[in-house]
Amino acid sequence: MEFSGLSIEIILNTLQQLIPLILAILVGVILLEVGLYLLLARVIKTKHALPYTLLAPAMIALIVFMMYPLAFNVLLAFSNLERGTFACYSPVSLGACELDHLYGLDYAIQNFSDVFFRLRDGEIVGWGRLLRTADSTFPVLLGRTVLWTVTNVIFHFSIGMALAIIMNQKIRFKGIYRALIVIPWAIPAVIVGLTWRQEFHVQYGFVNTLITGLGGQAISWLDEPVAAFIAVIFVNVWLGVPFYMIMLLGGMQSIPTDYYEAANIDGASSWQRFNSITMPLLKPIIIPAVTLDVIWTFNKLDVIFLVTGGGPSESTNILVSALYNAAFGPAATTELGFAAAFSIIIFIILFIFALVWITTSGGLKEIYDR
Amino acid sequence: MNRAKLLALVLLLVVALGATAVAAQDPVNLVIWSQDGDVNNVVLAAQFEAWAAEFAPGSTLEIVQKETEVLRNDLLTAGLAGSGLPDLVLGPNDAIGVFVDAGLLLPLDDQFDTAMYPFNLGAAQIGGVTYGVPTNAGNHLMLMVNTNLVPEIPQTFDELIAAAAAVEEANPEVQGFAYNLNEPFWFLPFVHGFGGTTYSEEGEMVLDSQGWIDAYQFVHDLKFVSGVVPEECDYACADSLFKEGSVAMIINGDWAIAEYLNPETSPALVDAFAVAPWPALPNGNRPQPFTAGKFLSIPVTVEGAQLEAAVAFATWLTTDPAAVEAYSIGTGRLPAISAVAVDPETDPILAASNEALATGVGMPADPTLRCMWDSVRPNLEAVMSDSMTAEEAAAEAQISAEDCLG
Repeated sequence: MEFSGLSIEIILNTLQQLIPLILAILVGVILLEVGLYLLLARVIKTKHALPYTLLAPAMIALIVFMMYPLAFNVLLAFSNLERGTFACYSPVSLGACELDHLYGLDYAIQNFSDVFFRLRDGEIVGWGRLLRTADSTFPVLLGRTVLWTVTNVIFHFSIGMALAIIMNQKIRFKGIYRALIVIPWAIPAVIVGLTWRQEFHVQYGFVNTLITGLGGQAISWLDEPVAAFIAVIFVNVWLGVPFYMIMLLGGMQSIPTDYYEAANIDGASSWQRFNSITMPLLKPIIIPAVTLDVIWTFNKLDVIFLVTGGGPSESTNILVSALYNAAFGPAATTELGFAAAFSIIIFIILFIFALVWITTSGGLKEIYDR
Repeated sequence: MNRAKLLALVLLLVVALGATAVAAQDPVNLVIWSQDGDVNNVVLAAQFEAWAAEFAPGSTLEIVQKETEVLRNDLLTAGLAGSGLPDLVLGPNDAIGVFVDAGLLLPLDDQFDTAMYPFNLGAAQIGGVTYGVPTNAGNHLMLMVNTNLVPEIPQTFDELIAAAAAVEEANPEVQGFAYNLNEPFWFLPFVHGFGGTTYSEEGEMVLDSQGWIDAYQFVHDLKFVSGVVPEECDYACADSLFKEGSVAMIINGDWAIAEYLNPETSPALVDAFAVAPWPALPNGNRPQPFTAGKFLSIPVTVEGAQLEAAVAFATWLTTDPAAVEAYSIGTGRLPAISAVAVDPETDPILAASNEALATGVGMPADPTLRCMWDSVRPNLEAVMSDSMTAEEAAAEAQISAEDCLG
């Protein structure tokens, strides 16, 4: 037995284990599909037998991989699952259970109030700590999350738009530039995070080498709270720009040139063409892109986790990284009931945002109306 | 040969064959979650093969390496699901308390002869019950030196600072001294050296005593006054720089010794590696690292032939002198049984490690210790970024610990 990393032998062994499993799943799905189709067409005799059959795998996957975890998470929020009560919820634990019930509204009230408040003898004595520092309260983390999201989305959109406009011009080697710009999007986030962590090292990182080479002062990127927050924003902007560039470039290329030619005849300036033709016609792309970006950025755990780990002093944590750290990180206390409640609150915030934004912006109107 | 003698011979053969069949176990496939490093896991795999060849031919051991926090979370998650737990868990003792609290480890007093482990078994006992057997003693931090760069081992921090400055002057590309600056496990020895403790005599968690304040101040000054440590340095930084000869002195644990003695992983340290107890602080005390060792535990879901095999292998690995020598001394760590001793003549590095171990403080398996680690970490980071004073850090850590303890 050796630990020499990924070898041909390991890959072959893995494939040997995986291929029969994949084949079994494939055969099972085909048999189930045929059975379902026969049931719908011959027994129930519905005229939608084929669409239902084709939709079934996706529906089952949605139920198993999304609805069930979501429902389980809600159930957890109604539990008192923490270090001291673990034995009550584990089917194999040898520990003694001292709870008289496993799930209940009283636990849910406690879990949800713990996200916001610190209670002593039933009295609220201040904001609750979601992590270990005094600043790890819900309002502070929400404020930082909003700042993180807004800053990222603004930079993603503006740089992505600028690049899309440039790429939409007749310039040489456009394909090469486009490929270079898309690279950040193609690299796995783990590699991006770990690489940038090294590049932000105060002594050996490329960023400080560049700064000092230009005559500036080296910055402790990972040791200073503000610098660390700028560092994670920078990495996430770098990662997110290609998405906008591709979406907006695709949108720009679908705008008929007739509009611009007519505007030119009317003597419109570049800004007028952009403001009156490009922007309105890009709206059906911009609104969904911004909506998705807000949700992705609000929930962006990997960059923060890999570049700063939420540090220094928990100062770069946003709501989701605080949630991860509370549930599974070094400061985790196995309070999964509390963590589940915390995650539901984040879900509600995002749900409300998405609902209000989509309704007021009308960005998805064209898609829904088709 | 008359018929009676033939019958006796046949009976003898049957008994002998039966005895052999009892000694040799049926093949089993064991899974171990190991918090140990790659080099040590290679030795563990070789040791299992040796055991299996002799006692359970055809058996296999799947070693799944997991970092400390990942191992803790994964075991708790598997425990909640009620399946997927391994047959053996190998790690330091501080996670044992959490697992015992969750009721996920088997009591081992009936499975092992606990008298075989005279040194550090207490580190894996909770309420007098044993939940782990030691594969080695130690898991302690000590001073590690590249003797090509620093021929004289510093005995005090003043000497260390002077030696580091001399190295940097002579070799501008080399860092004199480095360690994992923001990690509480590296900070606790300073606290102990200044007289601080995690628990008071009454058993209360006290993280704001003068010893803690002095320790925060001392590590702050190492960075901001004497400037002997790099501006940023985590474990990977100190470890990799030391291996390539770019740092002269580091603080690291016994788990890393095997890698530093390996010419392939540490070419700069060939014939130039020494370990020593921590240099003394200005108050004359040496920092006192936490000590315990690595322990093998068995989850509650293991039963039948799997349990028999897990116990048999763990017993052999931790008590058979040749196995203990291979897996502890062979990986640069100290044995946990008296039958195997370190020879200072032939193994000066382990002898020095043993000397460093003697300066340490036993690390309790109390699960509330997590509140200390987690409360100290962000405040230590704040001190090391000069954004909080030592007094503020100690006070804030105490508040945080009380909040954590509930």
